[in-house]
Amino acid sequence: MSDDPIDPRLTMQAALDGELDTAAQAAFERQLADDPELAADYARHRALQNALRTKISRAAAPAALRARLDALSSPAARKPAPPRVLRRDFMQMAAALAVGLGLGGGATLLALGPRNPDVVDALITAHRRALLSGTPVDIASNDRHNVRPWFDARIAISPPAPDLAAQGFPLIGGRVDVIGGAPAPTLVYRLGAHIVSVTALPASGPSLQTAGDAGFHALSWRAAGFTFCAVSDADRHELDGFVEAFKAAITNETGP
Amino acid sequence: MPHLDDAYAFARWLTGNATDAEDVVQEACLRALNGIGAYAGGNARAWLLAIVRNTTFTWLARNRPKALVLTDDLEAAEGSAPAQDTTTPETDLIARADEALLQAAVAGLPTQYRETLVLREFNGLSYRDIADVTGVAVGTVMSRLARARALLIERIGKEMA
Repeated sequence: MSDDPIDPRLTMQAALDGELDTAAQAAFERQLADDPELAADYARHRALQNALRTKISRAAAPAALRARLDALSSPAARKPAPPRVLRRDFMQMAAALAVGLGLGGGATLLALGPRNPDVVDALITAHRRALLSGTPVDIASNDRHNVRPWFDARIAISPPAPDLAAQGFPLIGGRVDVIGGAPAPTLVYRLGAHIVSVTALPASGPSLQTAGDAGFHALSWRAAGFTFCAVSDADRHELDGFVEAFKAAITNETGP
Repeated sequence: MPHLDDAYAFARWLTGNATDAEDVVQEACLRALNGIGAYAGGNARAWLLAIVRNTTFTWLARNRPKALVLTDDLEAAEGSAPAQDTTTPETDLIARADEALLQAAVAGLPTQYRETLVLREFNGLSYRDIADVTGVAVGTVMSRLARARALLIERIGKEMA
């Protein structure tokens, strides 16, 4: 996490868009209280955002366009699913598109950011397997002072394991997943009726994409020398809340 | 067909025109299909919007060369007038702006600011996803949003004065 001083004008955008973590949001709110000019500017921005979102009616795709695209998918001859593991919403899109069109060579390559589907897939699979096995943890403990030494002893990696019980996310324990052929420490927290697996991967690896797959969400961020990835079947909003609390706790632990 | 409304709304703002948006979205969907092999996980909506964006710019360059103004030097292009120089409108004045004025103000933004703002406010993408779709750093997303919003507030102030 970068703690460089950042242009307050930019912080204000992030505050408007809910992109600040809890600690930064609190700091921004203190700034607002102290600086009437900033507060006035923030109020103008809020009014603008509100006006844009409520007054501009959203253009829905015309029925004719939808019909044309649907027509491409009407023949019964469905293509077999692509061999790769694709995410469900994309599968639907692909199914709608793929049918009736000559697929094959000449793929249009598009310049997209780096992606790492295999790692995210592996993380989601590990989480699901843990759920199915009925024992999502190898060491069951709500005390992080037990969980960290346990990781350290087994795989010589000890990621931060913040205590989030006060925020409503008690630690359940830890387990070791194997991601990309290497052991990876995974912390397990409770989130309401769901559980969250937080895997710590070396920060030297590629960054991961946020993904949703068959009801599972994977959110990734970097902190304290790790690339963390949280996987859960909780809804996205709840998982976001958890991730924010986790980030804030690590920031507090490792110092500003 | 998931994300079609998103794709259309985005194309509508980028092209500024309903008919063009339809053409672009249809072409983008075909390209998405052909590009299926290039899809490598992640947010499918952001992936489709990135294709819509690329398709739009190719399409505009081919069919509406005059409409497509992309510049690396945005500050110079807009005359780099700091918003502070003009009178800033009161909050309730902004709240009273009507749809036509807001539409015109957004449509009048330089392309890079417009696409960033639209992805955020009308498509609801996160900064990370906007950065992926538009191919810039998250910090650039933030500064473009800041500039876009400042320009909108300025414009509303002028129009309603």
